[in-house]
Amino acid sequence: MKKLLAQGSGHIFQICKSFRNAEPVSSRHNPEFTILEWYRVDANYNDIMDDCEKLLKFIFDYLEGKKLLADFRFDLSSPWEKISVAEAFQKYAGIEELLLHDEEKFKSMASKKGYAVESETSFQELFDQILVNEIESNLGKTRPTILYDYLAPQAALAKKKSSDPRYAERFEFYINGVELGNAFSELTDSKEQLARFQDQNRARLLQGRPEMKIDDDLIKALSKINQEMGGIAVGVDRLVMLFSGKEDIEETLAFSARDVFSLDQ
Amino acid sequence: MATIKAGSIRKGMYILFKNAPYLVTKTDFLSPGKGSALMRVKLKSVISSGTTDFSFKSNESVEEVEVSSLQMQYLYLDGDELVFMNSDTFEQLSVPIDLVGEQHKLLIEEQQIYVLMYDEKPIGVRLPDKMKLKVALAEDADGGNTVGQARKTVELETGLKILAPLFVKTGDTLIIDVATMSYLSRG
Repeated sequence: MKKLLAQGSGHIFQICKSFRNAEPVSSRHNPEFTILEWYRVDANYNDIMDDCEKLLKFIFDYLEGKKLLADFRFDLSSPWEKISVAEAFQKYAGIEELLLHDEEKFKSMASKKGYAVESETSFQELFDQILVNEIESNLGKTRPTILYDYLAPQAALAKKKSSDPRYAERFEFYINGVELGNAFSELTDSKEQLARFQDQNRARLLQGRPEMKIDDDLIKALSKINQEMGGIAVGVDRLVMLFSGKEDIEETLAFSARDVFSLDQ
Repeated sequence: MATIKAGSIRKGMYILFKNAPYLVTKTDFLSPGKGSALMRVKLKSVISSGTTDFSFKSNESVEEVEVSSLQMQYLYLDGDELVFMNSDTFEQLSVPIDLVGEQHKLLIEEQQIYVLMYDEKPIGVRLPDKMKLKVALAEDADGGNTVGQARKTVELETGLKILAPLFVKTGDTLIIDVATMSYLSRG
């Protein structure tokens, strides 16, 4: 889609299937899923936040008008709750912001909290584990929560914050502890994008994972873009779960991986 | 005790969590970020019967613990403890009611029941999915003015009161669903 944007497409969206090989099946995730993606030109992640608020309100009003929302318990009115990653770690896990930028201290803090920290345990694994165990269940309890400004290394396709380049302009929004979308102020600097892809590949090699082929066409396309852009991918199946009140994503799919491959649990 | 990777935790296993034994009641794989794989498990404490959720890194080590089961005879309720006896050695063992839950009201005296043991201490009992109990008292009911499925309260031989269809009589044997403690059919 960025290649289309580079050709001057203007705002674009698509609804399509995404397939992620070897990803686990769970009550919230099917390896093949439907995503809604859109990009806005002359825009950043704040504009995408507004889009999300309007989109969910639109779906809500439509379904409510058809009297299809019997037990919907979330308040979708604007503005949504917004909390930065650093604030969320402080508020829900009692972790000071400074620790997010000091891998050694972060690891020893995690160890003190009772998490298993071994020599091969990465910062990212512990970050995710604490996010899942201590933070996510607090997000989107009664109204949607936007979790924004991820650590720069956690957003390979997002623009760094000009006011604090330790963070990148990325957000995810949550309802009922479930992540529904992931958005960026898109990185449109082709040189920086190339450098980040190369860094990512070095990290993958260290983890024993295969290198990703660098998309040269994308790098070339980015070099033609001279506007700001915001973009997002929203999990459509999870939206269906939300509005239909289903607990398991399988109930929203005609052919779930669990059904098709007769997986247990 | 055996060390396993958290990614191979399965429902029904017992594991050590914060140095205490827990029963795994649900598992879910998660891959939230870039490359991290987590295993979310729902745990039921076998000591306090409380439940908790925790997400392990799939590759971290977890201790699976042996929980053994011992067939024993249920004797009687003593305050807030259930007293069992080993039919071979006549040794007696008390199990706190909290570890068994409401279901202790289904236990019939002299019934053979598996008691779960960890570290030589009782941590619960394993009840069958269905149990047969006799009706101690069922009053005749007229279903004249009820709508839909008519039910009445009957008292079982253990003193437990449940809802059953109107045709159930004193002395009938009923099949009870243990999880919901409700009437399934006449036995």
